[in-house]
Amino acid sequence: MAKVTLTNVWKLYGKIEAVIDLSLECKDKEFFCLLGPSGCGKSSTLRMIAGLEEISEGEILIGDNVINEVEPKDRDIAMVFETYALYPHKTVYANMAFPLRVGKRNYSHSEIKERVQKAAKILEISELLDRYPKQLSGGQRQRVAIGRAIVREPQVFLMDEPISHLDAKLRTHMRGELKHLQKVLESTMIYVTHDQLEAMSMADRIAIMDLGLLQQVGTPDEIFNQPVNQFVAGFVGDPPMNFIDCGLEVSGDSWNLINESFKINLPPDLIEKFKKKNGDPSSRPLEVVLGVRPENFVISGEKARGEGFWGEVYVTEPLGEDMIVDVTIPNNKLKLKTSVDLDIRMGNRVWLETMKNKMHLFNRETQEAYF
Amino acid sequence: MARTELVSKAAKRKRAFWRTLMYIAIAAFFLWTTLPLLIMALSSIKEHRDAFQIPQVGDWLGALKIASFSPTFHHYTDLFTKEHFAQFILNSVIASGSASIIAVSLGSLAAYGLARGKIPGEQHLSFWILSTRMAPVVAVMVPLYSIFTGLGLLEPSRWRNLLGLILAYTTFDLPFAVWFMRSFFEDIPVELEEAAKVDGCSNLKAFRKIILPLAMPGIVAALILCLIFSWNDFIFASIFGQQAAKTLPVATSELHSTVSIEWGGILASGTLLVVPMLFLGLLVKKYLVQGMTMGAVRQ
Amino acid sequence: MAHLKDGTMSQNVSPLQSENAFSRLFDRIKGMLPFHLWIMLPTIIVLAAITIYPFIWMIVMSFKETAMNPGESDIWVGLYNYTRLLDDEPFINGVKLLLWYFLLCLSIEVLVGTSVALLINNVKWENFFIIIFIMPMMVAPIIVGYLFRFLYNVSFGWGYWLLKSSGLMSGETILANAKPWLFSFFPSTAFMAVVAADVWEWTPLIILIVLAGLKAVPQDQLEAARVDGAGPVRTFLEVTLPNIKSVLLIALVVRFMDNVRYIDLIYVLTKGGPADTTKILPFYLYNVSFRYFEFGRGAAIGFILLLFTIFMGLFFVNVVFKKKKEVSNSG
Repeated sequence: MAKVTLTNVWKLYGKIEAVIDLSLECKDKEFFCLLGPSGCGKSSTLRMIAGLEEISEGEILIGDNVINEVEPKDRDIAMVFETYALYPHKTVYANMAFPLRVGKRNYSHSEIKERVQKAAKILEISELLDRYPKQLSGGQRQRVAIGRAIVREPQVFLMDEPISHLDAKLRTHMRGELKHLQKVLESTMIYVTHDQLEAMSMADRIAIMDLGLLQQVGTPDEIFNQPVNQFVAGFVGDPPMNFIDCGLEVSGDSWNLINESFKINLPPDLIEKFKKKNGDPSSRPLEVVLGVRPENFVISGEKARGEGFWGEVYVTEPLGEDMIVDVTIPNNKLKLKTSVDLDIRMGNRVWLETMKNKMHLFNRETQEAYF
Repeated sequence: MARTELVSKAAKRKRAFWRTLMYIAIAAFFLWTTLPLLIMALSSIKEHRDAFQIPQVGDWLGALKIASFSPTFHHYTDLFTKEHFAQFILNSVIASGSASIIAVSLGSLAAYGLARGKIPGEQHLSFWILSTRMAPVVAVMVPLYSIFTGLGLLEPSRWRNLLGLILAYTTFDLPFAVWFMRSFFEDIPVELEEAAKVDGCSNLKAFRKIILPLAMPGIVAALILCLIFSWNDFIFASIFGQQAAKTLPVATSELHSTVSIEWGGILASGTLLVVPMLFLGLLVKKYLVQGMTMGAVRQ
Repeated sequence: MAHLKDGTMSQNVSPLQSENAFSRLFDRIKGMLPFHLWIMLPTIIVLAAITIYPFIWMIVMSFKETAMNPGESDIWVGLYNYTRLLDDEPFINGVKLLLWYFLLCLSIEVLVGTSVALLINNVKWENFFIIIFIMPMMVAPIIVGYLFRFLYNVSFGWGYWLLKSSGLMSGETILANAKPWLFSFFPSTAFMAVVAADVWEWTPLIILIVLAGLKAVPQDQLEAARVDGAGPVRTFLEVTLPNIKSVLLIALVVRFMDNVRYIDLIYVLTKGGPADTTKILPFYLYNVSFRYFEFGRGAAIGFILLLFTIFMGLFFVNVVFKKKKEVSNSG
């Protein structure tokens, strides 16, 4: 069983709290992603799992074993470093063979050779086995680093932003390759990144962190469509979600979101969701934040139905099939994503409507989501 | 959920064992390094009869007697009253100081040139500069002796001898200064000079006003290192300083005559020699490695 | 301001100045070379004067036999000063002892220095240790000589007392002891005493250099080795050592150059004795030149010594330039 469990894990650097009371469970054979901006604690978490950092408090288990005091080499893990960490004076073959030569198990020469060649084949670097790292391209070096991890056939793979130093095109390619590889190897993989696109496209489940605190754990779909707070909602998705301050006005059964631009009526199912989240029916926050993703607006040149609002086009950015339109409204600038066929230009007045089933509402103070 | 500990007690004990061994090794080297210096400083403030007292062979506890004595500073004061050390110290200061200043002034120019330009035969030039460090002192001294005799620098005149000494020190300080300071100039981005020139500076002005201030840490470090090398020199001073420009190291060696060895004076003089250099050494601690390896290794 | 062909800008020259032939010549030279070259000129000239001139003088001197009496002129003897060295016993002895000297000093200093550097690297009091360990290096070699002479003294030397008390020494004297140390083919005990003084003074330099090299070992390679399962010895041999190889080489060559240069220690401790067992070549050279005043022969010996050291220096420059090239290629 190669699940990884963190129970109330803290990491302190002196007084700085890098990881705060983190509990999560990565299932066996899962591609689990730790996502967040720099400084959020994801790398510290990974390094604690690896054993490269002391665990200040809490427990980490691999399988059923508490590994807090266990040396990295005894944890049966393999790690791919952001900088690859290849041994420059060893050939590719020697780099990949190194963990097999120095580990606890004594592999024979032929066993080592077999494993290295097998891994090299999977990664398509078989012709590079005699070269030295400085003779390889960035992408090749990265594959050697992965190869060094694969040969050990460990219980858990740990990856620390492995593709962040590759150029954009190669990164796109490697996203698919890494995901495929993980399924082929049937291994548990914990992957750290700051790129939400990587996480969304590759992971089975994502854990988003910010400033040491776990924000949300869920599948990409859950993270994207049911974010629990403004941070998660704004972090995932490109262009990011638009946040519009407004007030919540309730008169009888009529619930409305109001600000200087619009008055949007909330349908009953959203009211139900709000009530469920809010709990105490007598106290309701009056100040809220409306969240709408760029692709969830309807734009037209003229006022269609009643509940939209006007805005002025600030700039348009055509992107092939899609177009990003920046629209200014009083006190805000929104980014919308629409089809490139729409004929609007800078300075045009446009009428915007939100797709109600895709709206999100957040408490302005706590930033938590109602729906 | 069963929980098991994967680390045995034996492994923990093994780690502690190696750790203690490590501390013992460091402590041993620490003692090896500091004890001689301590003994020198202590003995310099003991009367001879106290300084020469050592316990019997094997009497380890008796070693503590090293700390029981009544301190006296007469060895130090004697240096100045009986042996006229003040002027020897002055000679050392003048010779080392002047040579260092000359070396660093001229050296910075060449270091800058080497750092900036694509010079044909740059490697040969660098090698030539390096070879001056490689030349054994005694080998270099032979032709210098002849030349200095011809120039009259070895005649019994204080300023002539001092001049000869300064010149002699410059022969190894200048190449060192060039080689050492080069990397500091290389570190300054060319763009700064180019911006200054666009703003209206001449090459020389840009060098004076922009480059030199930025290279100051390296220049100061070079100055201090040259000071240390020249101050500590004995061989050159013994030959070129002659009698009229005795430096501190030479004067110290003369306390050891055919008749007697003035140990108190020697140790006191030694301490005087060492203390300022310790201080200077700490100042340039950051650049010591760079200095000693002529810039090949950076800290 | 006028733009010159090489891209530099000439400074305003007043009419009065340009009349002077010297300054016109000066400006011509200035104009011919790019700034960074002509600014080097004064230094290059001085350097040439103080290095090349004596060097040529030395070679010329080596072909002459120095006059015994003042007033006589030197006799030209061609290569005689060199050929007679082949029979010159003190010369051959000096070479042999020099080899022993730098082999012993360097190997001990590098071994001990590297070990200590490994021990104190990243330890809590590392900075404190560095400050303490710098001290021997700052002591003038001649003072180190006197200090150790004081310590080795049979009547009042603490070093002598320590060696006898701990049973490490069986003989009765140190600096006067011409008997081979430990093995019959080894140099004398007195020789080893000199080596000990050199080791005391210069091991810290190796420590500092190796420490600098250790800090440059990429942290991620060490972590990767840790995750891969390598123990401390294996990590040192296969990851750390290859990464500090060039630094070690530099330390070796730099120390070699200084080791051969300074004769202060021998001058104070043994003056070449006892029984010529510490008369390494540089010291023999000192005697020939400044005790016997045979400058011609001294110049010849000096030239050979210089060649020997330059040969090693070539090695050094290669390593440094190769390292610089490597650094610019990778990354």
